[in-house]
Amino acid sequence: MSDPAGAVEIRGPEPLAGRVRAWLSEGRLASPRDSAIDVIEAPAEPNQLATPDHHRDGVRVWVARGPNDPIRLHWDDWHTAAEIRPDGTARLTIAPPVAADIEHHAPWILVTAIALLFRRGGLFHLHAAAAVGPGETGWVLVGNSASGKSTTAALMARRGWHVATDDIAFLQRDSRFGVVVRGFRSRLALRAGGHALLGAEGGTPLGRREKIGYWAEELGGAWRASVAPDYLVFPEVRGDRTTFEPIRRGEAIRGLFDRSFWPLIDPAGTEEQLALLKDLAARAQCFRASLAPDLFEAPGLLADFVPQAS
Amino acid sequence: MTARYVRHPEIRITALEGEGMVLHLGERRYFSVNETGLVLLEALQRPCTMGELAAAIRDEYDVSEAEATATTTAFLEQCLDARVVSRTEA
Repeated sequence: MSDPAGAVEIRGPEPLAGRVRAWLSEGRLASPRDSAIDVIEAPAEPNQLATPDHHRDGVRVWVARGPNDPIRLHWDDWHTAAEIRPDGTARLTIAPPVAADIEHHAPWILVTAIALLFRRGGLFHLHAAAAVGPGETGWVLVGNSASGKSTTAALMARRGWHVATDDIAFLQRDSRFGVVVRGFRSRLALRAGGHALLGAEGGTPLGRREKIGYWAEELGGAWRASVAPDYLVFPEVRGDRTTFEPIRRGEAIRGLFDRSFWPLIDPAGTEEQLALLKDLAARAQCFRASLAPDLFEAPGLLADFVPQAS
Repeated sequence: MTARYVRHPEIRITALEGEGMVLHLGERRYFSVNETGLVLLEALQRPCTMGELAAAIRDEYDVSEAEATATTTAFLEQCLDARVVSRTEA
């Protein structure tokens, strides 16, 4: 496996810079190239003179028109902005109330920053969970924030599986497996429903996210830096019975891009990213899954529901 | 005057087992595409007439000329609407 080598320097006033540094350090995801992020604690106002290319869910995006252009983002409600430059530097202008709770906002602001910085070094962000089960079987669960990824990842950890991430994954070219999923280490973040189903004690309240977080180790599992994917699953929480339905590989590519749409913001590296998505869909068995509480009773977890080839 | 059609230079395509995705970097949009569409988009890398595109379909599938032309016409209309393909007169 070709390990990326680089460092991300975080520059700016303390304690904000230190907290961003700590978040990044906990993630244990090596930067594929040397990068620097300047953090500034101040409210940011959007550029009213330039029409954004995207303006959705309160986020304005000005895309890179060419390989040497910066990318600019503005989170309206948070009065926070990011500028990502092609030379591997970024500037985050973070409003004080957001800075005071930066860990809560990290999945949006900081993940966006590293996703855009790292993609030019060959690490491509995918909104997914990834884990390794018995027999070194690699699982990748791709879906939105309410699709059951985190609860399933926590259940995997509870059964002793090795979990790379419940939410922040990166695709990388790999000489042995073709493509691997690297995990950004963070607490597995459970909503109330998932927490009740898991029945685990302890945990750490995750700021205002109204979630309870566990390290995989706290649940009896372990963290794994990367996963070679054998199963690619697009889950949703639905119904009373867990079911798996095979999907076509071409359909899987589209589903992967739905959760890894960064070429719409930064076209650099698009061919490489599309090739990785294709290789992932080609390497793994692809399924759409409905996840239900009976998953908690299944000894083999997801593997118990995979249809057997006739 | 003969109409020719060609794929937008900012189109990227990835596909597996006859199905895939078209990404239009210029428009910042993406679409699913079926097997027939993939055949046509492959041909559209260089300027093609309607007849040449229909012939590309017939090279791959056992269909009549009328069926191939109807399929091509419908696909081109969608692609022109989405600016995936442009039309020139020569």
